[in-house]
Amino acid sequence: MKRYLSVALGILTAIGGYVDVGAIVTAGEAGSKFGFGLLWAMVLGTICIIFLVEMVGRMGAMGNKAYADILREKFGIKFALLPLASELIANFLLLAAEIGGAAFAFYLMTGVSFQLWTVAVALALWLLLWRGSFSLIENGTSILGLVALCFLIAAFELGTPWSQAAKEVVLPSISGSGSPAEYFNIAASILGAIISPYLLFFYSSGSEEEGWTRKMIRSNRIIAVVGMGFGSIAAISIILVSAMVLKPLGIQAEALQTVGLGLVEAFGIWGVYLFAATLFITCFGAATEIALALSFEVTQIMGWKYGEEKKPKNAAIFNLIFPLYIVGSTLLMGLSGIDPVQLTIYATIFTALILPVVVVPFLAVMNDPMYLRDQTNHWFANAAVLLIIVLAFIISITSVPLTIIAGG
Amino acid sequence: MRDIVDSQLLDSQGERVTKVAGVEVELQGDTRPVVRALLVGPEPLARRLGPRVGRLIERITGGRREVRLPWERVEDVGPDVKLNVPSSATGATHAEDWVRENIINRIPGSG
Amino acid sequence: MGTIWLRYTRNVSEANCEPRTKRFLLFLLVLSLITVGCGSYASQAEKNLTKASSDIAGAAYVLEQFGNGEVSGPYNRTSLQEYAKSMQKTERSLQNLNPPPADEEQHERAVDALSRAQNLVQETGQEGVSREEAPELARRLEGFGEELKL
Repeated sequence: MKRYLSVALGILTAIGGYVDVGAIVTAGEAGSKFGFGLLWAMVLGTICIIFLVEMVGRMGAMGNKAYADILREKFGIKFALLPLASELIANFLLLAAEIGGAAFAFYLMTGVSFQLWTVAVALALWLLLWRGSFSLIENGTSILGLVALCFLIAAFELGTPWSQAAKEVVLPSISGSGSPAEYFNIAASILGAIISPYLLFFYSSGSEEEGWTRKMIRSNRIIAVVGMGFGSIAAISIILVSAMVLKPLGIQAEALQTVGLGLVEAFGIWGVYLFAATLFITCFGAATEIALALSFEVTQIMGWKYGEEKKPKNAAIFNLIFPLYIVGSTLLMGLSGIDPVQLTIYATIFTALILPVVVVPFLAVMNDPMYLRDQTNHWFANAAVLLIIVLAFIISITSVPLTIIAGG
Repeated sequence: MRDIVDSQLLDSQGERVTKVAGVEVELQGDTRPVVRALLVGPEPLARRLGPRVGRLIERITGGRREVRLPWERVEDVGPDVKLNVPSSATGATHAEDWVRENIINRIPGSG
Repeated sequence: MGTIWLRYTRNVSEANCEPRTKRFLLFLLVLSLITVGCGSYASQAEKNLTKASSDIAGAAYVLEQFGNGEVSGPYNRTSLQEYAKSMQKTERSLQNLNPPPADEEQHERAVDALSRAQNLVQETGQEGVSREEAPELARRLEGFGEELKL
């Protein structure tokens, strides 16, 4: 019974934690500009992240240390530095975007200064991480994140043509108010938004904190497939809703308030409240995970003490890193004048670019019997992940100039 | 040797200290090299990244952060290297101690 | 007997990028820069006008829904302010373009329509509007939007 409960919790947590500012922005843009034409990118990204999350759970279940630890111990500092440094930069950008997203929700609903809200969000973030426990943070924010499923309900309310949508996953129609370059730009950003490498570092640390054993392997598989699968449905619904409401009106969702309009159409007065709740909760939840991931990454690769369950004085550097990053990210978001959507696009495209650098070493570990013993990767999983990662990289590198020039 | 460098150092209570940055090795004639000490700190780490990085770091720290742990301090070698002293006796916890004293302990709720 | 420092690096082929791969990637990057960076007036104008139309349509939609009571006051005003900011940027981009003589008149009209729309959205965003008056403003905005397309 207890096993079923914990699997159920894991699934709910995965579903609620799936959506973040990256998913909201990229799905909104995709649906409003290209209708159902970019659903394939979301589906591919989901398949890849399901494989990766299952892998990292399996790695933890086989009693291994967290991934950053293994990264240094297996490859040595010289070759571990590149994946780690890229990841630190990507996380920094993404954290700033998430803080921006969360703050924007309050800004929209109150009209009070966006910058002030970024500071408020940063403080709340720090406070929660300073004293909160790992399971409270991860489970609490992710369960609340189930509110993102309101987009799925909206998709039903709006009468989405499901069979047509399904058809376009396989045979996308590239018609829409954007150039082919823009199409692939958004495709790259979707992939970068969904395939978030910080999850590898976060989940491997989590399974260590929660003391996973071999017995968790099957549960982990179920959680990965069902949880991430259903989570992706929330993100896909954002595309569907934006396609149904915004595209016909010629409204391109290049701002967060626009993505919310789809919910207004479906739910009336409740729309904006549901959107603000979704935006804040999912972004805030993601921010907690990214901030923690950053602390884990640095302390694990350097061999220092870490642990969210520990009192701050017993893991001093660990508890210094995430506040520093929160401050830095908040400054970037609040002072630079970049708008959250632009920053999100940069963060996701950058992530897509560095995916090979971070994921290939991970796959190497997953195929190493020294760490995984008899549970090394199936060749199909390796192939699927590699193919999607390479695709994401190729699309993003050809999109970089467009991103820079167009400014998102 | 290959396996010791970049391994995790644990103190006598199993607490993490840092990772091994380098080793000091003695060549004795025809026999295999003997590890005399473990090296810890930014300087040996930087040296492994490249000669220029090493020199740069050494100029910044003045070599003061490098710590030499004699092999006698090692109790066990496995996936991690276990020491027979608590971390306070290693001299290798500058960063953690400094952060704890000067930053963490000054903030309420640090435990 | 001497002591020797051992500098140890591991040889991992995955992390290495051959010079040839790097050159190919650079080529891809440059190629895409060329194809994307140079845009004719027509394409730049179209991009900006699409964005302007989109912002106007968005602002009009928000106003209309606000008039219907489906959108809260703060959401309405904040959205309008954000659209106004975006429209101002687009206006400036358009003004920096140099249209060929045949298109000049059309260009001027478009910039003018956008400017009036932008002022309307900005004012309404800053000062607010009653739910009764909102739908009419939405109509006016849609009118400007039409002018942009001509």
